[in-house]
Amino acid sequence: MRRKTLNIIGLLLFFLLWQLIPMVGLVNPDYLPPFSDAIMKIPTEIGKGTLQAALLESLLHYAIGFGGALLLAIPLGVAMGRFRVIESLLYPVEEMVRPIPPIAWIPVAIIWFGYTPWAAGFIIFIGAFFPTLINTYDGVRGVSRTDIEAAITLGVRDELTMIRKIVLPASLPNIFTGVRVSNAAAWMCLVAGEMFGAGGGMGLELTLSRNYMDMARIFAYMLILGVIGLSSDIGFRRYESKVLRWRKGVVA
Amino acid sequence: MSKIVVRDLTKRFGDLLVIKDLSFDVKERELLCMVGPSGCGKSTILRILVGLDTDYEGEVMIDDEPLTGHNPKIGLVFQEHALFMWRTVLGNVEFGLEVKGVDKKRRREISMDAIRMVGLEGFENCYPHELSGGMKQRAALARVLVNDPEILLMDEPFAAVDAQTRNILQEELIDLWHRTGNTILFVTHSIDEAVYLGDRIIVLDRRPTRVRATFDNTIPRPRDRTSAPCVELRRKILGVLKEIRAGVKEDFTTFK
Ligand SMILES: Nc1ncnc2c1ncn2[C@@H]1O[C@H](COP(=O)(O)OP(=O)(O)O)[C@@H](O)[C@H]1O
Ligand SMILES: [Mg+2]
Repeated sequence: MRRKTLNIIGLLLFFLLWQLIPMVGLVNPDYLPPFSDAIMKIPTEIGKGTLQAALLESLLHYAIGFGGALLLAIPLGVAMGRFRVIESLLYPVEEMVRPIPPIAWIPVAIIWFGYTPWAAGFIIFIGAFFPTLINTYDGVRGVSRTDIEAAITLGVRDELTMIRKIVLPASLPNIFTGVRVSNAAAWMCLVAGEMFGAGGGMGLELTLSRNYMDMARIFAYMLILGVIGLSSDIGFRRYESKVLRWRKGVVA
Repeated sequence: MSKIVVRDLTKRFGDLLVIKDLSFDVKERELLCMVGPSGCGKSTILRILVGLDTDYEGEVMIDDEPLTGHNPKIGLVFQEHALFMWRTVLGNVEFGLEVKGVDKKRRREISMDAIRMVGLEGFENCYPHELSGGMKQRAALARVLVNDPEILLMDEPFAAVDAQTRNILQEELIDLWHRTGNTILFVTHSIDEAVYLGDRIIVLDRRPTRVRATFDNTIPRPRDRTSAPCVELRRKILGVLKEIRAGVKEDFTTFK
């Protein structure tokens, strides 16, 4: 496929530039080590076992924060979209808490949870919670009246069946959008939280590398974070287009 | 025997008086067509009959029993865009049975029968966006038929399809009605459609709506749209609609 080939060529060109700029002396390699130096750090880090350990810790934080956010945000978004009372009660609170940058919660998290995985998980939770909540809520409010009424005339009597069979599937495109935005926010908050020492992980390794003044190591860990972010987004998109085959313009 | 009885039905939306003292009957196994100016409350009447709107005055009886919320005997085919986009044709048709808790195998059998009945065999795994307008309406009809309704309410179901497909769908509806013996209340803004389909045609007045005229249609089926009796009946109905448009107020009359 043409597009995929170009995608790969683009990436290769980027790595090539990264390699050449410090090599020809355009910038000092002490500040920007060439691509090859960063890549060579990866086997070393694996050899020492640090990379795997950091990755596992980060994945634990991600699972706590991101998983918790989805588990809470989706039902709450549905409830806000379906029930006036809940909407009126929660909307102002939500609108006030949402603009606070998740990073601002780092001191709170560390005091509440100490230097544990729960601290990092909490910060990720804050970052991932709102995008999914808002998009779910929007999606649920946007479910067409005709769909709801058709379901009633076809025999749906209770709210739970209505949510399961109509509201959730109809708002799934919005929920997916929310989940992808949440995923990006989760990784951002993950690194920020960990850099402050909340529970170890990839972010902490970045801080440690800075202490060692090991630029190649910094870039090695950043590269890995980039790859994780990219592949998780591709993963979500693939799953999304499989589940949402029914949408117009999406070819099965 | 009357399947549906409506007596002195009055309906307001806030200050807007839409229906005032409306009365009509639909007989058992009758195919009754309802025409009237747009905005006169035709959809509102169907929504009340199907239990989606319970805020009205007057009496509505189904099989001599007062209406209480949604009655499973009644199925409604919406004007358009009413299929569940995230379900295939089969998924849409199965919906009613799924909600009732019918087991999967039985569900599939009944649904495939309904799909065959409306001529959609081979398309059961398509999503709505892959279907033409006429096919969507067939699917919508099949979705209602699986619930085995005694009464079918149809709200301008063929308005959004092209003229040729509409004629085919009308023929198919007559076939289906002969086979199932349903009572059908069919709302349309097409006089041609009303004359082709109806045993009887009710013409509604402008808001506040009452019955302006009733026409018995005894022209034998299959009907020829171009035959003299059809043309004549169309001309009469058109006359009433013209009077309504011109704002001529007249006591309601029954033409034979
Ligand atoms: N939910 C509603 N709220 C307020 N007005 C409504 C509502 N539904 C319908 N109406 C009004 O009631 C009148 C009749 O509507 P409707 O039954 O859809 O007409 P028809 O189907 O004959 O075209 C219209 O004037 C419409 O604007
Ligand atoms: Mg209407």
